[in-house]
Amino acid sequence: MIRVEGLRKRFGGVVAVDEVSFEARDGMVTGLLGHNGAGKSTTLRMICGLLQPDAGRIHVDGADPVARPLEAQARIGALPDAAGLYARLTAREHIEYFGRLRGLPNDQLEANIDYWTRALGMENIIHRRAGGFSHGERTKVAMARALAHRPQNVILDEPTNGLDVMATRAVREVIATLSKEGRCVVFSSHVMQEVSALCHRIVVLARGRVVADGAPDEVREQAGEADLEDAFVALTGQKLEAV
Amino acid sequence: MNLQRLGIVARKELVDAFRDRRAVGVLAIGSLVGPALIAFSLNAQIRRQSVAELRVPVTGAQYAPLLVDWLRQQPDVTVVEGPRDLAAAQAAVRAGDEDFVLAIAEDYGEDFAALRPGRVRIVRDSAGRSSGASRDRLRRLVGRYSEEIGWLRLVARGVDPKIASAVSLQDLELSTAQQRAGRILAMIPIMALLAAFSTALQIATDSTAGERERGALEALLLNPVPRLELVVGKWLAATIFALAGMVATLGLMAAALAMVPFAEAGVRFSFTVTQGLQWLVAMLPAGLLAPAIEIYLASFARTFKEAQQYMGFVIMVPMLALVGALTFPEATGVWLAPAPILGQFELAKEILAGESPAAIWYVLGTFSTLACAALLLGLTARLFRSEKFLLGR
Repeated sequence: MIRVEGLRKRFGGVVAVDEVSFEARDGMVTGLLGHNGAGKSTTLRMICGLLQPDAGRIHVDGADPVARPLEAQARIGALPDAAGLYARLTAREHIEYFGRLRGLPNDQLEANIDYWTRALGMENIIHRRAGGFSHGERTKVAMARALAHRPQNVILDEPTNGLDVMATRAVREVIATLSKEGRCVVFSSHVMQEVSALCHRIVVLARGRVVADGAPDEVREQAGEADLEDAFVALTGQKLEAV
Repeated sequence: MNLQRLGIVARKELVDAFRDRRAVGVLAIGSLVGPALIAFSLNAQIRRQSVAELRVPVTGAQYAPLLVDWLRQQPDVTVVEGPRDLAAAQAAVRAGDEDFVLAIAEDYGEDFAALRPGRVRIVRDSAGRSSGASRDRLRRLVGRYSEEIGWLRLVARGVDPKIASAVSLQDLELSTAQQRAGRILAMIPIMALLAAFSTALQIATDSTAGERERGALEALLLNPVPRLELVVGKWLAATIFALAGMVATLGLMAAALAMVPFAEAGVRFSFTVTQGLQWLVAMLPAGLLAPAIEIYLASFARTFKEAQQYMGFVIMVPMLALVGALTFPEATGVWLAPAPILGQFELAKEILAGESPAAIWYVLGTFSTLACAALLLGLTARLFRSEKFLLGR
């Protein structure tokens, strides 16, 4: 479970995240919805202990990423926005590297590699070097690498951004499975359709602030709009980007 | 620090680097260029020193039997029969069959008997590939013959030949072949240090600035691993390359030195296995520091290209210091041993000169150099923790 209270972060004179609070429960998919620059990535990076908030508190299953980032990171598996691969390593070596860094014993590492290879449909690329991978293949490897230890808390920053239909479907299936397994999944997106299809709970961010928070139905209610997309426009005063 | 995790990071970087043709190429070139250069210049220097046989083709030897006999008696001079006349001599030189020909005029004997200067020509082609040094030597020899005969003529007339010379000009050559060779040998430690910097360069920049540029570093930082371990792991990989480069350079250098004909040039030089090991012990700390410097500076760069620009300076700075130490040898001494890089150079130089620096200098040099490396790695880890580093600003 991830809980965020009154999170603030400014870069120079720009307030990137302003009083953001929400809770992402186990067994649920929580979506952070907002435009580019709304503060989604900054919020997720603070949860992962990569950025220090100026104010506010974060709990990741009782661990505090601000005071003890490594403790929180041990409980999280996170896919950053731009997750670059090592062009000269194979897909398998990517998963192995991160799994070993997290101290997985060999048999468990093997089992997890097998699991992700199947779950993400990577059978044909698992022994190939990442240099020539398509965007979809790269995202799958980056995801398997981030989740090599099969963490309780999963953070995915725009995981489906720029993916083709097949790869998007694979990622969505993984997200659904993760929450069915009782894990806490937080993912960010600017695609309304995706958020409404996958999320049990939506947190709408605009200019660093939470403008709506709740189940999809509640968000529609808060905005007074029947359609989620219209609700988003009403809440943020901005149109959603074309998918 | 978790050693197992250090190994995991280092291993990944090594696998990555070994699959990188550029890194392996740099390793190979970096450790080959130095020895090749040294062997070549030492050989050239020594060939220049050694007194080669002077071969003098003479045309018209029958007109000046005294001169030709005198030339034959000079050490390292061989007189051979040249083309049959002046025209043939000119043709031979023009065609490049001879570098030069000593051509004695038909009336030389007549002039000589009449106490007039006999005409002797050196046929040469300065535009061609003629050997200036040999020609000058022949010119001096003929001049000396002329002088000796002149003196004899003066003595025969009861005149002191000394009055014919108003000035006595002598060259006082101070450098010996030994010293000239020594100057080149002092380049060896520089080459080894250069190898340490150049072979680690690719891996140091690619594993920091390169990964940052490609967005791979943020994913790595999401693992619950202390930043210092990540940095030290990357440094370990770069250091293995640097040490491999240094050992290869020194080994190849030793092999190259074995092929240089020192004795032929009268240069006393021997390099024992013990000296070689002393050398390694003295210089290896630089192989630990060079990658630390590179990793630290490359971590400031946002892109691989930017990092490469920094690396140009990284290599320049120690090289300038070393050139300074070479240029002002009187200002250096074994007391420089505790200075990073300069100290390794100084110790290596002392060993090369046949000295045995006291163990304390090795200890001080190693300790201070490792302390510098540790400081830089610590600073890099701090950089890895900073937000600026992550956000690329």
